[in-house]
Amino acid sequence: MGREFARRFFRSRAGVLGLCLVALVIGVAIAAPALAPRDPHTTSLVTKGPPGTPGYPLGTDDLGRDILSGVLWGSRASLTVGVCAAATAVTLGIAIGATSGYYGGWIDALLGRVTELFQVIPRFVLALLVVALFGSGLWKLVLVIGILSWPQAARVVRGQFMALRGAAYVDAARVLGLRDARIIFSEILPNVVAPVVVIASLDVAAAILLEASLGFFGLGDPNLASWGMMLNNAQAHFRQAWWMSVFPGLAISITVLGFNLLGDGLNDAANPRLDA
Amino acid sequence: MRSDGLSGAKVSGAQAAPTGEPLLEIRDLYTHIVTPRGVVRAVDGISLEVAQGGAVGLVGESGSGKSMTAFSILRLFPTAGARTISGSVRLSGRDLLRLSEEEMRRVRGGEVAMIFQDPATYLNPVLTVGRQVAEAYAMRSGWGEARRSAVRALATVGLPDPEAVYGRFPHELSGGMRQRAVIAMATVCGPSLLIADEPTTALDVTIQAQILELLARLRKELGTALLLITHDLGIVAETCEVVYVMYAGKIVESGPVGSVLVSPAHPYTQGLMAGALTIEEARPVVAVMEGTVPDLANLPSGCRFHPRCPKVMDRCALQPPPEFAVAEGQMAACWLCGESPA
Repeated sequence: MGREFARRFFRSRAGVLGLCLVALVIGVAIAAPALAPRDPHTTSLVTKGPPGTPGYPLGTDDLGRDILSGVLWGSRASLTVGVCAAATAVTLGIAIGATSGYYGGWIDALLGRVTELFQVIPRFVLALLVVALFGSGLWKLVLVIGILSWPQAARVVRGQFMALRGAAYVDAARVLGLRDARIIFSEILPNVVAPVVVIASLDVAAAILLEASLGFFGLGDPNLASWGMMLNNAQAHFRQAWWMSVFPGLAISITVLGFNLLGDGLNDAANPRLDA
Repeated sequence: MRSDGLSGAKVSGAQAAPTGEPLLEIRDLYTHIVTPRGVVRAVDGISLEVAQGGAVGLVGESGSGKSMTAFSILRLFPTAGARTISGSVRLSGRDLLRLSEEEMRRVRGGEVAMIFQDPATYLNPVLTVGRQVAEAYAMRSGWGEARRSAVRALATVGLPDPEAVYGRFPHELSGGMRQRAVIAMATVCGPSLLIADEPTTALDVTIQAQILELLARLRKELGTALLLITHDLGIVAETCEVVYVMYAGKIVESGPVGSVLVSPAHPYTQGLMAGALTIEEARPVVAVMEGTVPDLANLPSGCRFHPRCPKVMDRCALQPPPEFAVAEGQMAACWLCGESPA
């Protein structure tokens, strides 16, 4: 089963490209201290140096900070927020979706309305509002993005649980006297892993984008070198120093594209019937 | 506390055997299903006994309420709106209908286990066979002990190399092996009663015979009583001692397999027998007998079988027949068998 899945995944070029991009970004994030030529926060007298300036391959910003180092270090902030927020969203989604789908009835109706409520709230506006009110910080960002991103996972998990709660092997488990919690976690949940992994991957991409957007509006964690903050900083100097915005923007695009392609590839491999 | 429940069941099973008191005693059980069309009287006042270590067949066409009877014993219904209205289900003297949900959960799998028609769908595709067999035991003890018991259970049901089978996934086993694994799942805790709902219908004939042999062997080795639900009289003749024939939610005839299948008293049983004898086994009985089981939400008056009965009399449409004794231990609910109740 696992081998078959891998074979199907590696057959899709887009999925493999996504995996490579994600691997690249993760590698960069881990090796950032070794790869980056200097500290991303250290200013210098070489302000707005264009790419190719000796010692600054991607140029410098208005305070003389190295763009390359900023981009490399920024991958850490993006990945941390992306992965942790997606994990929060998926955990919440599983908890709510599983409860809703397994028990059905009024619990499902109630949680369904709550899910819809969270879905119709414009995520970005609410994230903006929360960060503006309560201030910014890495873990606050993770929490806000996570709490705003769970409905999709919840809906998928709910659908799967509704379909599987009537499965014969679930009846068999009930006949054997297993507890509900046991049935939910060890009988049904393992069957739901594939779609959840797909959602998680897409959630990471969305969270990274949201974090960068907040950063762009100056609402990122001020103590962190992040791509969004670099873009925010670049706004005022766009005409004089294009490199200040292009390189972090490119980094965001590549990362988000990578996670999206990876998610699509996993989805295609998990649902072979969609092949055509 | 948990292991107490389990060993308690075993001890009471061993002690009660000589007294001849039945292991399972169902009295006047009514289970109805509320549907938008009306109330479906799936089980409508049946009484049934299973002796310690005995083998009882519950026979009838599909839709006669056999499976609902089994679900009523376990108090689990696949259909929404199904509810046991009244009656009692005594297991070793305890009325299961009066137990709390938590006590009932411990009875399931521990004292009463059930196996089903299609073994392929009753195994979780993403979990190893061994894990699924061990699960019910692990709930009552630890995983280490559960693992050992599971391997033992896999060996008992006749799976070769049980250690290896433990780590396999269901799709790696054949149909017959899967049904053996399902039986191992059901018997791992040493239940005193095993309910088998059409356990061989989905299997081909040679495997069928092996599974029936296995059920008979488990009865001897583990002392597990068997309640076999089937539409196939041949299987009942081979496996059971006592048979109950069910029609439209009621027991129409019961007694020792030897008398009921040799000299059936109720026209319905006679019809089933005729079907079983003239047509090859695999063919459903319904094809032979005229008509089908009536709509359980809209039952005919009097005897429920009268619209299909070849020996129907005027009286049959008016009054439901009581049970008459027709031979030693044999009862039939038919006006042909007597004038007044036994």
